[in-house]
Amino acid sequence: MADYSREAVLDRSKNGESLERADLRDVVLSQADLESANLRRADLEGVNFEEANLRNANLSNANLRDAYLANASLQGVNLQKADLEGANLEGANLQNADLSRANLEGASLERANLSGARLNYAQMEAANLGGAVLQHVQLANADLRDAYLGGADFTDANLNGADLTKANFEEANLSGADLRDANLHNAKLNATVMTGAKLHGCELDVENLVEVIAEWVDFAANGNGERTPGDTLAEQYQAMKSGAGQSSSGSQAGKRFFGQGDVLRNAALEFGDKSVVEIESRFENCSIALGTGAVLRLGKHGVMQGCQVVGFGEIDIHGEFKENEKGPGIVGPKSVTVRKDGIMSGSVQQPPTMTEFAFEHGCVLRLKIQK
Amino acid sequence: MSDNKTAKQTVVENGTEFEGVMRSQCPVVVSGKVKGEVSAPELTLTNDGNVQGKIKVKQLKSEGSLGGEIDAESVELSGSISDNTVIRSAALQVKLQESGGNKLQVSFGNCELQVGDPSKKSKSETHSSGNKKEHTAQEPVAVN
Repeated sequence: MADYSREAVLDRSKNGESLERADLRDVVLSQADLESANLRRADLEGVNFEEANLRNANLSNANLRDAYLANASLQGVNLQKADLEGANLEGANLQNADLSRANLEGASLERANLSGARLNYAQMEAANLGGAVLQHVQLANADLRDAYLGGADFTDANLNGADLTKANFEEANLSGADLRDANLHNAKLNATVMTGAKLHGCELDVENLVEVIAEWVDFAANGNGERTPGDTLAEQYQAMKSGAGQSSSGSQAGKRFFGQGDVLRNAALEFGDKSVVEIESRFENCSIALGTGAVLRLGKHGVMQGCQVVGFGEIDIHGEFKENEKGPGIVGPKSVTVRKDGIMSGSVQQPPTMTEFAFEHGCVLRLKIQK
Repeated sequence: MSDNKTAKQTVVENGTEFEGVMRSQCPVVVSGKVKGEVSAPELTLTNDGNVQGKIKVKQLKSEGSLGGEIDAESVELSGSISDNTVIRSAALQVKLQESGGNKLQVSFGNCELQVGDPSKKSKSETHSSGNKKEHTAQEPVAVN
């Protein structure tokens, strides 16, 4: 027996009263006006919300398994960590909704509008997003294995680190999408538009690139659109994988690559404004000056030991940064990001404007931050 | 989700200030101000939440202001971290700034982060040429 009738739910919502943790199973809420309602942690399993107005409602951690939300208005809704397994969201409007870490396994989102929505770390295995609009959507590290994404519009979407194994992208539009470090193994890319997509570090089956439609693709590590050598996408992908694109780019102004196996000791290096430096080597006791806007990417195999990096640059650590007792190892950076495989042991002296920090789950830190 | 109905939490609402020792068996949500010692399985700080002191929890999620000595298994941060804060955790996540945003996801004062176990992941020993591999207690050592 549900805690409230349909009328009571509508009254409470209208009066701004909370429905948090309410048991509303079996209540028919189709076409209901529940704008800004608080339904946090509510039990809504199988509830019919067809064409309901749930704009800006709080449904975080709610149980919406097998719920029927077709054509519902869900703009700006908070669905963080909600359980939507098997839910029907066909034609729903989810613009700017927050579905971070939500469970959408097997859910149907066919023709749904998800523009600007946040779906980072969402579980979307075998979900159906056929024909959905996903422009500027945040899907970083989402699980989209076996998902059907045919005809979907992912223009400028962020799919960084997403698992897209066996996903079907036939006739989807991935123009300008960020697919760096994504896994596209066994993904179907028939007639998939990928012009300007960022593909550095992604894993895919090179033979599938033949099916892709693209005027150009961005294989650069920092996604700045720099051209990678090779006439075909397959050749460019292979060049990116082997690192050849990076090493040959020494001829390009401001870009430097230090390959795996090399060791550099006691060197003083200066890199100009907006230069891009990639390190897969071992640096020991080196002094590095970064110009404004320069990017220093310490790759997965890269190690910097006893080094000091100074300047208003962007530092991206996939490898290991270990300072000596002299410290601080990093002085005045614009941003410091430590990725999931990264290790940062040392200290960061922030500039007056403060440093932007980002730490991925799984990173290791022994870090002192100084203002 | 079936346990949602029975799950309880301790809530310190916006406008409420608490000073002292708080020990809870259930998740704690702070939208107000807490100063002192907090131990609980989960601690969540909303945008308006402020907790300063000694915190011992399994999971910590903060969008507010946080400071003091923090021990947790898992930490997710945004908001701000006060001076003289130490965070010890098996895992930490600070989200990347979303494109187009100007606001810092998190601002750090003078603080110390001890996250994860470096001995499990260190690349420097295996990478360096000429380094002798040392046995650790976890590794089997042949005995004649």
